[in-house]
Amino acid sequence: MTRIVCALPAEARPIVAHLGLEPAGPRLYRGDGVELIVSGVGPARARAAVERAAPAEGREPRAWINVGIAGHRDAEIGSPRLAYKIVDAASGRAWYPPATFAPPCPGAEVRTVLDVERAFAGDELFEMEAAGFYPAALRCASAELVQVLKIVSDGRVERAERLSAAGVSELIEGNLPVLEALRRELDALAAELAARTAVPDGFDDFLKCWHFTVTQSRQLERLLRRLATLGRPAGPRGFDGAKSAAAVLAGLRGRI
Amino acid sequence: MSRAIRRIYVEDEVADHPRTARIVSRFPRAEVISCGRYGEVFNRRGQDFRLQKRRPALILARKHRGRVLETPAGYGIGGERNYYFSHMLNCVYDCRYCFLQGMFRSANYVLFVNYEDFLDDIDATLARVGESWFFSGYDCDSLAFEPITRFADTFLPFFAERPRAWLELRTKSVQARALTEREPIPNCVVAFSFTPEAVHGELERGVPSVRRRIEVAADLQRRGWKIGLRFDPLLHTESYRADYGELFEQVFAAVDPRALHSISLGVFRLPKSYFERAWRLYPEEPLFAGPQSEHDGMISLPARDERDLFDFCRDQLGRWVSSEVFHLCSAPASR
Repeated sequence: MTRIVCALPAEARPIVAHLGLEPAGPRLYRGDGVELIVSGVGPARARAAVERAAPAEGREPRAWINVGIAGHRDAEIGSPRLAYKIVDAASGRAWYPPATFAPPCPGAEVRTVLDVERAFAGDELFEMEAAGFYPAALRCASAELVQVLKIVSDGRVERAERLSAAGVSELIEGNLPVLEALRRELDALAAELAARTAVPDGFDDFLKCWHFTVTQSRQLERLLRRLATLGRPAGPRGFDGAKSAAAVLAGLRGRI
Repeated sequence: MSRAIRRIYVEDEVADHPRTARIVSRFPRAEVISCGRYGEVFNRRGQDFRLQKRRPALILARKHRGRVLETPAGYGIGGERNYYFSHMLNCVYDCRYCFLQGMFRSANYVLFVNYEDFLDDIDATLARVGESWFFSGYDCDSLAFEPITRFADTFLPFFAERPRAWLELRTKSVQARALTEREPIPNCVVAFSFTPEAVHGELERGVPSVRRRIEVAADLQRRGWKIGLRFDPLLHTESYRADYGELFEQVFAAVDPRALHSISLGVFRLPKSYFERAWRLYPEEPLFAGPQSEHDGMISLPARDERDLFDFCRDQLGRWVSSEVFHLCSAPASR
């Protein structure tokens, strides 16, 4: 499952169409393995959007991607950049999204500002959500699964004021293959994490037969996982005479 | 190995360091990213060592303090005063039994480029306490990254001029050029770590073959370098007798046992917190799933298996070497 956060409806529209997402609530779209949230403009709204979605996080690891437009002094309009550094211009705080895969496009430092940038002094991208999105998403997922993809939309020559909603959608649409490539990479990472934490076979069957406390159920999960690794999967059948969860756990320990 | 580096983070403080410039120039295709302190990138909460191991980044940083530290109790090869120092955190290899995967959340390589500060601290330690051992290769492999770091190239001339300072380079690599291109240094021991072929194949990703490492150790020994052998950790398998028996035969077919400086043996052991983290990273790994015992916060093999394995290896090695060169390593680490 990937969660995509866009600031603007115009950024979201081509992604919704491309992935065949359906409306699932206010500013929320859902489809096969993807959820898209339209956060509104600014870091505070981006943060709030992530925090609203976070309680729905289950055990399954998810990827989080902030997709949107950004300004750069002279980069080609429509070119994509994956953030390797995010700086909150207001506080000076910085984050460094790791790339444990071959990035689908060049990287860049992304600076989150509160107003439209006009000076473009450095080589950074300027935008308005990443520094709100990123730390909030880090609370929901391992850092490797949280990425920020920006499309250059304006600069010293092409001023932001001249951007139309249709123009924004066009820029995003032109980079859907990059987004798809990024999604594939992150989905693979999420799948690897999911495989590590998957509930071992037989776990629920044991819970149906005996009462396990929270601590005991954790011990049960560990023991079943270890036994599976050793090629000795266990089910409740072998414990017919066990009077308690403690007796089951002792029996499982004895099998290692 | 160097081909794998696609990102280099550079602490602002070392951005102008000549070593930084040289290393960055080795990776013309890498993204170079400035950072305040390496801790902003390395070992943050919510990072996954195993995922990062797919594509580690290199972080160039300055080590501010704690450059030369006393070794944990039980870590040493006969010297009275033992210190370790780590010019690098993390290893280019990926050994499943290694404590680094339990100690760090990040698999990125941190290279401290201020070598001269390490050397000053070694000098200060020598002045304070006298003759001492200095162990490299505790938080990294001493030589595996040598073409990039030129660590040995810098440190060996320093030790050559300080006979009271003993240096151990510990390695699984075959990067020996820094050694073969100079005269042997009498107060330096090049210590090679080995596990049997079967264990190597299962648990040591990216590590040169046992055969190749033996060749390099033997070559260095012929050139006059003091060689150490490190069978640490000893790993228990169903066929450990055959596996370790074969390994020792292989080693001593090439390495002269009479000229060996030292052998150390240590059983597999990890602090419980490291073990737990490693197990969560690699739950499919039988090494972490099998029988274990816990003692004083350390996880190891059940005592009987441990004793059998250790006694067997010690007895086998006794066929080639005298007991004076043996050292039992009981420090809470396995590399």
